[in-house]
Amino acid sequence: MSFVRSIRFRLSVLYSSVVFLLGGAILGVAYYFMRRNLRRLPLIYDSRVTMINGRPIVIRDIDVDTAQLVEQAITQRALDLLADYSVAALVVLFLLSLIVGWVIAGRALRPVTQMTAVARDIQASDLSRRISYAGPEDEMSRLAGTFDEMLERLDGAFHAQRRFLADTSHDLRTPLAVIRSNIDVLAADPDATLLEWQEAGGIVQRNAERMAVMIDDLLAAARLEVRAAAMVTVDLADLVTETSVELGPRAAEIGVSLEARAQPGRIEGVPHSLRRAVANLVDNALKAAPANTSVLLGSGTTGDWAWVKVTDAGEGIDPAAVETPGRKGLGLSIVREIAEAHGGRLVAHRGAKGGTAMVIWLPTGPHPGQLPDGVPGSSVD
Amino acid sequence: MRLLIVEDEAELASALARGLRREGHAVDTALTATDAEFKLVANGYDLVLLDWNLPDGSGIEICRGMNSGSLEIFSGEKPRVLMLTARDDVDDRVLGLDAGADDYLVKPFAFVELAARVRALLRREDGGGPILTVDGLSLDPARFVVAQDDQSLDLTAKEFSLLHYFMAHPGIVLSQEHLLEHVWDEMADPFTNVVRVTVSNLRKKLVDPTVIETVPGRGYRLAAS
Repeated sequence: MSFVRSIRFRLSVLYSSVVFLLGGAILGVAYYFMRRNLRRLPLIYDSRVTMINGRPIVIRDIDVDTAQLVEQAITQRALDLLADYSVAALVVLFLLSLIVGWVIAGRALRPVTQMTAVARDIQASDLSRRISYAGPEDEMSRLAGTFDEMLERLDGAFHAQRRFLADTSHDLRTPLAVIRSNIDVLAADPDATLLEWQEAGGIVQRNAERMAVMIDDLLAAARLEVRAAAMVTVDLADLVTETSVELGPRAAEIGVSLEARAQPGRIEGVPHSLRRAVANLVDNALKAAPANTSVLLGSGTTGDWAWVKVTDAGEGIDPAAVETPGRKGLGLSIVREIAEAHGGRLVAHRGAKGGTAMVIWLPTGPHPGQLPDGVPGSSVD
Repeated sequence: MRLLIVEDEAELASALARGLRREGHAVDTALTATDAEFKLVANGYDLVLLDWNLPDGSGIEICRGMNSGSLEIFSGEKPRVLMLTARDDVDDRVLGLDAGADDYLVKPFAFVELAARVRALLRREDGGGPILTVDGLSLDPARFVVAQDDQSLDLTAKEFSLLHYFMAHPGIVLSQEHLLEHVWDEMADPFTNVVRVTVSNLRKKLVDPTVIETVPGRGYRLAAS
């Protein structure tokens, strides 16, 4: 009997038991006092005048003993009837309160039943459903709201993870496909020359190196989560200066000048991860920049937000591509992860004359205002 | 059969081109979407191997362009499309096939599988089984075996491809330009008589050379009863 193990059943039994006990007590008390007072204060006690319904009656006319007997019999009958009706009324009251209690408990618990159904429907792969409870503002709506908020957070984390996995698997598959196809094609061809095999060796080497770098990036992303607790005050200006000194020689090698314009931007963050994020952005910019152009690396503060900006004169990427899995390197994916882990965002802007400005926005305090529009520090350029 | 490989990883594109040429196909490569669209307009292809993510666009857009007609393909004959991509989500596969791709292969793949899928897709164009037969001729593209009247023929790769193309279009008059378009790649010089020379070499090796008829002023035809 599964309904016995429900809150609804227990509530209605509790209701009706309380009503039954209270009703029984009231009737019992009423009966007790009625009986006591009827017996203690009889109408007929001697042969004097007695007022009955405002009319004087002289008991002398009848025998007092007989009159008392009659009164006692009437009293007893009234008491007996009262007892019988009370018991019957109590039974009816108990049954009625059981039904009413069952109905009321059901109404009060209906949102819980709904929530249970939705929660049961939600699968790990589809966290998009919500309870969306539309009742009055009360305990139930607060419970449903809290539940929805929790689903929202789970959904967000799940999507971020999926996007990251999609990026990662896409980026690892490509060099693997290059290696595999080159080896497959040569292995199937008995006429393949030594020179061709040597070329394939070079291709395998380069692509294996690419994969090694990606795996490093993956580990860095995993480490970011572990170290997320170790937040210290970081000035983005220092980060920008360090990165430009570090990567300047590599830029010079490919004929690109790396210019740093560091303005203070103090935030709470993980220096190691932030350095990696800035380095990844500069790395991408250097790859995109044509020879004899410059890559600008800047930092600063706008309102509640500190920023790092990397601008190149390359072909320019579609700003929406930053949100699309597989449209960019794993490097950018890591940058976005790092920015979001700091409560910030990664935004791409396409320049009017081509080129890309990648901006990491990081909040300077715990409750930052709206993210500023546009490319920060444009007047500096 | 003439193939176009659209793939931004140059080292992957060149390996696939090399392998598919060995399979007897005429293969061109394009590293960007712009180049791919240019080649699809300029040359007639039987099959396009299309990467999804290209530096300047997407394979899906090219595929949609070919289907909607916004991309004016050479001679209006839409080639078969094999999507070749690292995106393995079921949603992505469905999106790719719905955009007009005929097949979908996820990277990394075994080259033998790619070659087999290419054969299968071209077979759908022929409308035949894995072994082509026309009158006394039989040709097995997978094993590079060709015979006429049960007598095995020893053909060069180009002669084999040419005969394959004839057998895929039996009874149809094929002009020299058309054959150059579909059996040779973009490296072939259109001003040489390479088609005439190859047809004449092929005829010499056939047991019954009369199956390839010359239609004066129009081209060649594989006689089919």
